[in-house]
Amino acid sequence: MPAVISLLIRGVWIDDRLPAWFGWGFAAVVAVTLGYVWLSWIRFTYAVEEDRLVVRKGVWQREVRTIYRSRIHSVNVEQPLLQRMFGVVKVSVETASGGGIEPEAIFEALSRKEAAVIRRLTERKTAREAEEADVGRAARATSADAAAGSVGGPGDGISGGMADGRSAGLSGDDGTVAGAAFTGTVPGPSAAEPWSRDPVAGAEAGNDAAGGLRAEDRGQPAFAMAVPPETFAAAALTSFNLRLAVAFFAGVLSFVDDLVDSSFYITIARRAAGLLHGPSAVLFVVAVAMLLSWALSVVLYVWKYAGFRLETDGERIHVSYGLLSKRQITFPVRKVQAAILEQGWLRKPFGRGELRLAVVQSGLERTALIHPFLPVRDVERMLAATAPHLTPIAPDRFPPRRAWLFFVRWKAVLALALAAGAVAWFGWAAAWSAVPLLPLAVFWGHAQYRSAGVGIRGDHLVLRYRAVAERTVWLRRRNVQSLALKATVFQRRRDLCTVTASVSGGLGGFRFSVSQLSAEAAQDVYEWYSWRRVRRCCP
Amino acid sequence: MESGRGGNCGMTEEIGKDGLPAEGWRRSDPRFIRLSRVTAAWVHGVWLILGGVWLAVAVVADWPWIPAVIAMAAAVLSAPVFVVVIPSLRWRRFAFAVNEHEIEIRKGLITMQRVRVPMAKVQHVKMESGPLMRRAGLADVTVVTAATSHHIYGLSQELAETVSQQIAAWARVRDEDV
Repeated sequence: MPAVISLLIRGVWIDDRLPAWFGWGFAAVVAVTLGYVWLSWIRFTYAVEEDRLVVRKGVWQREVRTIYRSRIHSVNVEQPLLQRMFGVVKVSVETASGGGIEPEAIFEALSRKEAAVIRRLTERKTAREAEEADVGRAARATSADAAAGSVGGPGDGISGGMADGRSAGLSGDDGTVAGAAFTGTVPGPSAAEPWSRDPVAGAEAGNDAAGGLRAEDRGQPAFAMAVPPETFAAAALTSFNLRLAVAFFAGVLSFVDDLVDSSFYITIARRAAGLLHGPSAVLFVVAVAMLLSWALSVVLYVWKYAGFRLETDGERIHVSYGLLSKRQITFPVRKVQAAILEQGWLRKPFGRGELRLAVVQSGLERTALIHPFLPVRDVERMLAATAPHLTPIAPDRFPPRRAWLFFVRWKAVLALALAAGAVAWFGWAAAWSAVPLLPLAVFWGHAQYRSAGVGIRGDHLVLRYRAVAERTVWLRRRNVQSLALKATVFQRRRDLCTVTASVSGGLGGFRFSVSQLSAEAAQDVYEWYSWRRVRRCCP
Repeated sequence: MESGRGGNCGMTEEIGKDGLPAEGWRRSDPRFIRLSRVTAAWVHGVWLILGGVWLAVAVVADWPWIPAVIAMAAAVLSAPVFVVVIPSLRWRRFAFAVNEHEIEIRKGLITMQRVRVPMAKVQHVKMESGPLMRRAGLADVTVVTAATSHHIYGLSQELAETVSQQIAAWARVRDEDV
């Protein structure tokens, strides 16, 4: 066999300069690879049991994965090109782990019959589960519809239509599976849904679209909201997104780089150096760059969020925005894990911030915006209207005084180092530019110290912290997937502690951390999360 | 599993004679220390050999030899830390407790950590062992929630089997409150 391959290779590569061992080496690599693939195929076994799916695999690292039926969110059946050529299907089983970005188990090639057996794992459910799954499926199908409409993303379309393996296309016989599901369009229930209207029609129809029959039937008030132009303008003007701007500039620069000769830069640099020199030049450049990034942030913000509109019937929330490329997001209220109020440093002085929801939904990378410029005092009302299961309680435990130094010290050191660098570079003439650095660093650390805090009340938890923008996160105990306390050597010495709550959603979940709490406050939260507390408060 | 309310976020309290916190806490298998030492020794050995080869080539082919010497010196310096100090320290700092309601893990070298994972949040349990671990009769147990995964390192294979089966069974009966 290797000889044949070797001959083949030498036949194909007429080039005689290749030594003979090359062919043999190549053949050996191919043989080993084939052997490995064969072994992994042999080792990959699975068993569908009454209540679980057990997958065994691995050549070096052996692994047994047990997935309980009740944990399975959806079973997606796809047929990519390769699989189609061999008349098999690819099945991925999703649980909620990792926000459903990477399926829990992937079966690369199964016969349709075997796929149906796995799919059946999701079918025998309690009535309640079935109903919930229904809602979830409809919502996903709708958002997939939107994606397919605007971007034409076939991936989304498939996963939307195939979710739970119970949608119209799938529940039919095998013929339908191939026909309906793999063309990239999603047929089925979404067409009948009020949410699936295109945004323009929805906006024109106004309350009709928001209310629909569903809300009236249940006697629940529909809530629809659009942001007035002046509020939106204020939101855009205070949206200083440095990261976005830097990324954009980097992109533009690399593009320009391809077009423009490098001597152009040198000329510009010489001219600039002629006009400016010394530390004032650095400050000037920084100021101009900041101004440009701010302007760019405003433009990008308008581009992304213009026409923001939110509707909810109490069961699902529907958000749409975007100037030219419209984005629509629909998600069930019960999938909302946490509410996040983010107050950028330009917005904090106005007592406003943007309110976001962390949602468990595949395809939703980050949080969903539900208000771009909300006064802090209206958070309660806004949450009551959209995600009433979350209560915006106030933090009541704050870092102790001794924690102040922990917030400030490294920033101060960095500022001093920068100042020293400036002096070393430009000479003592630059010493004055170092003057604002240290207070700035201290001010930043102080702001973080002022922001940090946690609070617990009943089932509700609030975490507040600041990187640059201040974030306040509200969630319930049941939304926390795990809770960790961390303390470095230095923190332990001063009896300080960092609390981290992990929440599912997005890519790989969210982590919300408040650092430098007193050990006592941190342990309050840690014990609040214990089963003992659950038993005590909710018999 | 009750955590005392001492200082240090309850991370160093209750370390009694056997070094374990209160009841219910368990440790990795002691064989795991030896395995970590062996692994670290191997890594450093390979590192040294590569450095030596480089040095030999450098001398013969007249390359700069200083980087090779620096690399080898670094290996010599880091070997005692990773072979002698860290494995036993890590073993002593690691403990886990499992009951029908929750899993708790504490660990850490410089940063100490305690994590609490309610059974109701456990999505699934994995048992893993690489070739070296298998030879030593050890296995890791990984507990995965919807947002995080948590490792219990270096249990004997029987214990790992028992623990993961038990967690799986306990996690299953709480289907309703995910």
